[in-house]
Order: sequence, then structure tokens, then C-alpha cells
Amino acid sequence: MKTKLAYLALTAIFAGSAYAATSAVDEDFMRNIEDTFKSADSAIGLKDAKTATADAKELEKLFAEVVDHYVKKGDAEEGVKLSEKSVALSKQIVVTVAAKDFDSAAAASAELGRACKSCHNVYKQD
Amino acid sequence: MSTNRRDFLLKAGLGVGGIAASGFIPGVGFINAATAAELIDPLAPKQPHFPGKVKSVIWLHQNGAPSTLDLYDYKPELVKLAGQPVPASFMKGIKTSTQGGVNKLFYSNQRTFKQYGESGAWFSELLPNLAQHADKLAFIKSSVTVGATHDISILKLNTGDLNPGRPSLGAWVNYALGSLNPDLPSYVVLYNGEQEPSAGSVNWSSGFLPAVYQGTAFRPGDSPIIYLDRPELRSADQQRASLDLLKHLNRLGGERRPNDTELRARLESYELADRMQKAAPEAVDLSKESEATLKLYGIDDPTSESYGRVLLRARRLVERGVRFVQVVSGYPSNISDQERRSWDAHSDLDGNHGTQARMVDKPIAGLLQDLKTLGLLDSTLVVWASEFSRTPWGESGTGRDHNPWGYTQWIAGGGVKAGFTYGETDELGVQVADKDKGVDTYDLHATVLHLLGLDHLKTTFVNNGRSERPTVVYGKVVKELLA
Repeated sequence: MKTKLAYLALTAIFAGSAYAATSAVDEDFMRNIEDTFKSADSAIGLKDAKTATADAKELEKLFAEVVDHYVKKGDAEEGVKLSEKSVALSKQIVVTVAAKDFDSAAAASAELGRACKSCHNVYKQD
Repeated sequence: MSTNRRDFLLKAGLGVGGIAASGFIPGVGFINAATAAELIDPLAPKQPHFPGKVKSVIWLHQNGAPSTLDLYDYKPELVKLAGQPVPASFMKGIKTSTQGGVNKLFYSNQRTFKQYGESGAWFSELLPNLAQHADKLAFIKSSVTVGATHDISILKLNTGDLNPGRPSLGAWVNYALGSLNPDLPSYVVLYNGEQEPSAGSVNWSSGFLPAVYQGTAFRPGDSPIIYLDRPELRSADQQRASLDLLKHLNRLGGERRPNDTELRARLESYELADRMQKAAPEAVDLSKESEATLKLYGIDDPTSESYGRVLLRARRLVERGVRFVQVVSGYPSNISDQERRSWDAHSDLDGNHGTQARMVDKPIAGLLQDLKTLGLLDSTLVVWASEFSRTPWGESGTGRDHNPWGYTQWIAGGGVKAGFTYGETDELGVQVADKDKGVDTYDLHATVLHLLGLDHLKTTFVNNGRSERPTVVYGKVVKELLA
């Protein structure tokens, strides 16, 4: 029984790794970013530090994947620049929320929204 | 709510029990005694976040999307290259899905441009009267938006979203600042033409904000609000007695449904309607205006008469403390051509814009002049806005297609850097020259709110547990436009 359980656990781990390796910056991925971003922006408005921090940390990771995507894609200087800016702004939200400076966090969040929009204007179908 | 009633409530109940009155209301959040009073009168005046430069906004929506390339944005290169295909370099980064395709560059041989004022702003021959006020305007020549159908982009222009459900800018202003005149709606919508604007009342909706903050449409003519007039057979006393009974019954019902904003809005609207029976017809009655004023607004010209009346009403409303007047351009009463009922010139641009420009030119110039003379321009913001504009390439040989990638809007009034131009389009007017200077709807809204003393990031409302703001998750005040 123990052997079977260990086998199942290993299978699950490998399956998870395979998923991570093939997860693409596709429509579902971007929708996840959008939902997380809207949640973060709302949490900042509500001064809910816990949710805002968790969402901003998640955004930091997700935008890092977007940076990788555009680096690998090549000839996407604007995409790299804007996704790097988005990573930095996500970090800024984490830092400002930790300092309970929700005004600065809201400003960073609005700037992040603009970065998203600028990127989508260039890469509408990517 | 009158001061007395509010004083009574604050002192007798909510005031004495200030701490007791503070608390959490589902869907509203934590409240204090002051906001508790506002909940009873949601239109009570409220303090801005910081001292505003203006008290009122006149939002001039140019319906149908004028070609700002034919009004303000002079492009010598377009004149030179007319008749040739659009060079590929100008199309980089934009995706066209417009119905007419990308045709050859078009320029009307009737178009002439001149510079006006000390600012040297360019105006075409279509706006000779407005051109005289060049130094009062701050142009945003790098406006951008999402190009879709007119109705969808108009919705974005007014609410910031492509789907119905969000409050319009006027509703946010009404919610955040309250009313300056308890006898009139503080958010009024005006239009010229025989019907309400085709994009509909969703453009002055309160969305998820309480219904009391929605705009009130005033019809052209002597009776601005439908069914407002008291029937002749009913005396004022009889009406008052009926309203008092209705108010009593509604309050009993309202106590059982404290979160029913529709009911609260209806309660407020009965009382407001009673007061408005006197105030509204007087506010829009132009009979006491001088001949000179009527002429100033172009009311002596059949083409500009209906729009002139609407703008003169807008001035009278602002004079009486109305916060937000949303004016949707329609069409003159003397035209039958369907193609000239908005600025949407897919063909015959010269004919269409000739009519539409003549309709708005003198009235808008008159409005700016009149506000200035009356000392109201310092406390009023006038905005020329459109859902998008038109392409430099032609359509149907004589028209232009839709262009959301770069166009001109302008603002004038208190706190505005007059005689200034922000941003530019490329040499042909296809798209903004510098994307970092693009001014999207959210940025325009953030700037308007700023001039009213409101921080768009702090103007929030909790809807379904989520904090919402007028600029969705975007927005930046265009500080360069501020004096």
C-alpha cells in the first residue's frame, strides 16, 4: 500500500512539473493576472493589507513569467520593458502596503494598470 | 435635506449617539455619524478631498465622432500625401478592424487652416467662432480610446467601461460631492434633436452606485422633464397632501428595507420633483434672456438654434449650482438628411461636418464668452469630448472611418492651463506620436475629478465586497494640463 501511495505521489509531482514547464502565457494566464490585479487594486482601496500583499506577490511571480515569455519570443523589446516594469510595480505595492502607505500603493496600482494597457495596445493577440 | 432636519437628526439621535451611529453596514462599509446623515440625504453636499478649482462641469459630448483632423489637428503631410496609400510605417502597432478598410489618404479641397490667438492654435474654417477663444482652451491632441461601435465607445467615454453596469462620470461626481441646489437635480443631461441620444440612458446611469446619483435627462422644449407638470385639475395643496401621505408610507416601508437604494432614490425623487415643478421650468426658461445673449449662442440661426438653446440652458443650470451637465450633440431641426444627424461622416464629410460644425461652433463660442463675462468660467470646467475620431484615410471617396488611436479633445475653465497643447499625433494623424503621452478616457476622467477636488484613487464605493473607483484600475491626472 505504501509503495502504491509513494508511486501516486511521485506521479503527481512529475505531472505538476510537466504542467509548470508547459504552462504558457496564454489567454487563461492573462485572465488570471487580470483577476489578481483587480483583487489587489480593490484590497488596496479597502486597506486590506493581507489580501493586497498576497495578490501583489502573486502578480510579481506572474509578471516574471511574462518577462520570460517576451525574452524567449524575441524582438519584443516593449513587452520585456513593460513586463519588467510590472514586476517592479508589483514589488512596490508589496513594500508600500507593508509600510501601511495605501496612497502610494494605490498610485502604484494605477500605474500598473496603465502598464497593462500599454502592453495590450502593442501585443493585442499575443 | 434641510439643515434643520439634519441638525435635528444629528442632535436628537445620530448626533448624540455618534459612536453608536458609527458602525458597519453591509454593502456600505464603516460609517460615522456624518455619513449616517448623508445616508438619510444622499445628496447632501460633501467635502472634496482637497480644494477644487471648479464647482461644475459642462461635458460636451460630440456624438458620432467628429474628425479632429478637419477641425484642430492640422497635418501638412496629409495634404501633401492625399490620394496615396498610407505608408506602412504609420500603421505599426495598430490593428484596423474598421468597416471601410484602409483606403488612400483623403483630404478635402475645401479645408483651410489658420492659427489663432497668442497660443497659435490651429483651427479649420469649420470653427470660425470657437477659434476666437483659442487662448481659453487646453488641447489634448494625444487622446486614445478603444475603438468599437459608437455605442460601446460612447459607454467607455462616459463610464470607463465597454460593458454597461459602471456609473457614469457625472454619477461619480454626484456621489462624491452631492448637490449644491436642493431644488434641481445635480446631474442633468441635455440634448438637441427630437429623440434622446441613441446610445441611451446607460450613459448617465449610476451603475452600481445608489440610483439617486443617476443623471436626469431634460427634454428640449418648455417642459424639460416628462410628466413633471402638475395636472391643471389638481391644486398645489392637494398635491402636497398626497405627497406627504406617500412620504409617510414610503418611510414606513423604507425602514424595513434600509439598503434598498431604489426606494431611497424614489423617495428623494418625489420630493425633488415637487420642488422641481417650480425650479426646473424657470431654470430652462430662456424668455428673460436678452436678444444679445440669444444671438451670442447662435439662437438666431436655424442650424445652431437648437444646440444654442441647450448650451444656454447648460449655463443657467451651472449658474444655479448644478454640478454636472452632460450635453449630447444631436442635429438641427432644419435638416432631414439622416447622414447629418451626428458627426458620423463615413461619406460626404464636407456636407456632414459643414452642418454639425455650424450647429456647435457659435453656441460653444457663446458659452465660453458668456461664462467668462458672468465670472463663471473660473468655477466651471468645459470639456469637448468624443467617443473617438476619424481616420486620415478616406472612406466612400468623401468620408472618413473611425479612429481611436489618436485624436483631439479639449478642456477649458478653472484650473486649466489655457492656450496650451498636450501631446500630438503622428505626421498624418493616424495615431499618437508618443504612446507615453496617450490620454485615455480614464486619464481624462481623473483630470476632471482632480479639478473638482477629488482624488480618483480615493473616490471609492464598495460593490459586492470590492472597492470600485471611477477610473476602474487605471487613470492618471494629466498634470501638464493644470494651471
